[in-house]
Amino acid sequence: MSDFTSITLEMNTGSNASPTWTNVLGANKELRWFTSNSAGLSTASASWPYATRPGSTSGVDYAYAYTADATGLGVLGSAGTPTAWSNANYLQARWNWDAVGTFASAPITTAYPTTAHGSITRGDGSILGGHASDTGATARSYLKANAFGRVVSAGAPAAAPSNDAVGTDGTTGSVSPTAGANWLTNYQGLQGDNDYITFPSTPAATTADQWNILLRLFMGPNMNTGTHTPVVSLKYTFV
Amino acid sequence: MLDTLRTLPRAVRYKLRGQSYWIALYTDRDPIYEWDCEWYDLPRAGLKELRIVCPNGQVGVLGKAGGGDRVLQFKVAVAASEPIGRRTLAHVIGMLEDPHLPAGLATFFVWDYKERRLIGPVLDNVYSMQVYGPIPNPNLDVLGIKP
Repeated sequence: MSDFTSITLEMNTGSNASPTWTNVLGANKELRWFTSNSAGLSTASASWPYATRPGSTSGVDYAYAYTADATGLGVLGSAGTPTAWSNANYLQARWNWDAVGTFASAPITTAYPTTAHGSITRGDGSILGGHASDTGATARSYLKANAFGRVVSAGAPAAAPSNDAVGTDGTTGSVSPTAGANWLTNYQGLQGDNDYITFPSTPAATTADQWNILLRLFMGPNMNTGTHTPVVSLKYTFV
Repeated sequence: MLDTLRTLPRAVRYKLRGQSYWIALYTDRDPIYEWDCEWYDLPRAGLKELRIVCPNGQVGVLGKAGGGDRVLQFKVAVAASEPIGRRTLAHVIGMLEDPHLPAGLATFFVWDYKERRLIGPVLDNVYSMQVYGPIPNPNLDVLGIKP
């Protein structure tokens, strides 16, 4: 009975010093990436520009928070075009839930290939499957994340993760930040039920709160071509 | 349509919405349905059976004398960057087999919303559940399990 009325994925469209949290979860909302800050803030999803695969694995530096098909804001863009990825901008993204629900276990941050939340074949060249030549011998997802070890009511992050994301980051199965004011030491690949991040504890019942995360996308020369629409997800249980 | 639904009995509404629900049966009182109370307020004394009723008509039954303090129930869901927002993936009921909690062995039934089928009874460990993909260890305190 006690599911949440609202769980949102929010991106910071302000600045690291003065965040503005913009929800990208729901109808016609999207978090998009491009290799420059020139993809536009009023580009319809169907017209989103293609990016050319790089000669070696590298980051896709600019993220856009779209709240309607052709209405967007730059992530960390102070209401303008996005700012290039920097690990120092540690207030980039967060999950936000209301006080209606009660978690039955620690929530998980991961990503699935489609809304069917199906399995992922490691190393298949897809954006989440990764490729052994690009993302490590045990192929990791091109989409990486870091996560903070406590909810905002216990203290928001005040410093960046010690290590920036790299294309080969990832650990098989679950990783958890140490409980408290800690980021993961290294980023984790988001690969469905293969590789994911588990919050270090069960958040308090019927208490609105937020969980800070960082999302970093990579591209590589062996990545499959096409339109990639991974589904960033909070997997959770409730009573 | 929604107004019409509201006039129907709860069990019919759940079925029409494709939702599963739990029922607790007692030795000394009327059954309690999912919509009667929150799980953590469920009376445990005299509980003899926990059932999951599935939208396809299947029913999973877990029973054991004095098992009230060993039953658990939760749902698995996702909130995702997709138009639908949130969705329930599975409904889990379980009963710890071993009174010594550190062992954690339990019998589970799972209604799989994606496959539209009831899984179980399945023996699994509450501390490393694989019955429905990887699920972090349930918080037994939240679930009302008394060590």
